[in-house]
Amino acid sequence: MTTPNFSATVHHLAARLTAEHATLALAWLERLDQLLDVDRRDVFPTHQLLDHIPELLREVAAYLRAPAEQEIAANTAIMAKAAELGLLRFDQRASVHQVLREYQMLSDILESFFARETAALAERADATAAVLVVSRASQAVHELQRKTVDAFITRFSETIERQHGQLRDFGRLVSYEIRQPLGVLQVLTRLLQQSEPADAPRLVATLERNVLRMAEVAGKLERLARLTRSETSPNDQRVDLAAISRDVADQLADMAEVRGVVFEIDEALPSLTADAGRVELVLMNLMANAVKYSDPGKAGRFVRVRLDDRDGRRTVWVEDNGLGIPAAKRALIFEQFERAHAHLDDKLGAQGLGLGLSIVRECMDAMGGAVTVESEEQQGAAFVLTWPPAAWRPA
Amino acid sequence: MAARRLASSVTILIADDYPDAVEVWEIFLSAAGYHVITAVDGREALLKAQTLMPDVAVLDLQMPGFSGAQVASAMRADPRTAHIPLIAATGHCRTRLHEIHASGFDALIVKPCDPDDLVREIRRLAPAPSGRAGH
Repeated sequence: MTTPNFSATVHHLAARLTAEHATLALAWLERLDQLLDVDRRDVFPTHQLLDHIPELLREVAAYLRAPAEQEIAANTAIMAKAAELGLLRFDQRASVHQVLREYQMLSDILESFFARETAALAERADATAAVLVVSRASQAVHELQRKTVDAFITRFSETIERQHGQLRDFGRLVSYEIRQPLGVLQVLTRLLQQSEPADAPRLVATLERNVLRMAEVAGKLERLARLTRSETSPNDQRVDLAAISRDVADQLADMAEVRGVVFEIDEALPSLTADAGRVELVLMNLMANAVKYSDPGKAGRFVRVRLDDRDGRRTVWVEDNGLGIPAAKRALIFEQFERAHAHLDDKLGAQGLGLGLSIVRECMDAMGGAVTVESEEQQGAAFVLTWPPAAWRPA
Repeated sequence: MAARRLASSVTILIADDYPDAVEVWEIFLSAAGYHVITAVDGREALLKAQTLMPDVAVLDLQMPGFSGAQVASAMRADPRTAHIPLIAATGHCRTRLHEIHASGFDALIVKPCDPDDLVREIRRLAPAPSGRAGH
């Protein structure tokens, strides 16, 4: 069956694909661009796709040269790359439909490429070989597509499932947080109708406390909603960290004074490019927590915001000499509704949903940064904020 | 609080880790003619149940450390308190009585709840000997 002519044709076409893979990938991207409206083109991650598509094409070429019985699925490296492409497209918020269309275009481009190359060979082309190459290439692309779509859908289902679970837990907790004060209000309305006037001031104070608590829950929900909403449109601007820390300290002045806590803001804190709203929310939550969980047993209670430039790594520290966080709680404190000191609420006059630190983490994630915690129980806590290096570059 | 209860009155133990809830229920049930004892966590609730022998205990399910369900099981296991009717109070609307029956509860109220509903459950489980309590 196999004649020299057959084998030469296969190798020639495969070699042509190897030589042209980058050009074909560009042609593919160009066609893709024509399908997108202007808005999408602005955010279209050209460079990332060009990281994957040429490599897939090169591997298809290698596959064409391989023995007929070999499956492309046996090439684990390229299958991993195809799966990675699926995850990448998911993270870029593409749809399955879009991914299928992209693969269809890749097939079309390969088909017309081989048609042109076969025509260029003229009578030197072995017709059977040309047909075989086209069919193997199309089969390979099909396999890659399946892998990509599988990865995409798996990630999609995982995400939906996770979000569903979070939403369910969140709904449960919010309803619980609202039911608690609401239960008090329901009894209070009755009491205020039937009680002695002398009891009224005390009952009204309880009423006020519980209305405030409900308002606090509503405020936190709004902030959380705002965060998710703005996720796609970051409002980056120059943020003066020293100034914004001082602002936050001013807002928390009453709370700090009651607890005898002094703010120390490092004047060397530089500016960075980030979403000012998020930066403020992060500092507000961390500094308020630090005040809330200050240690009444210590003299010289402080909450400090400072810059750290050690080892060429720039970080911002929000640290205190408060109660600290028990080692067992440290891993979980950034989860929604986790509260390390819930049992001390009455003693400290604190209360909350346990959303503060999850908001901090969400904000830092959204800015491409990170937050970690260092703490010795009874010694205090330090929250370490990291932003991407680009954020520190002068505007 | 440690005073012996009046023969004519019914003693209710209210246990909830939300202090305001304890406060308003205490005022409301006292006004309704009950003798009220309170606890702000599970351990205190169990201790008071064993020493003060209430006629009914209303236990919040979500108390930290020692939950309402744990208090209920412990009370059921103790011959001194095994007979005391138990009402569970919860802020989770999905809780069902049959789920907490095993812990020994006789009734369930979901917060927020109409004060009359709680009184109705208390009267059902512990009828006032002289008819003084309730209205």
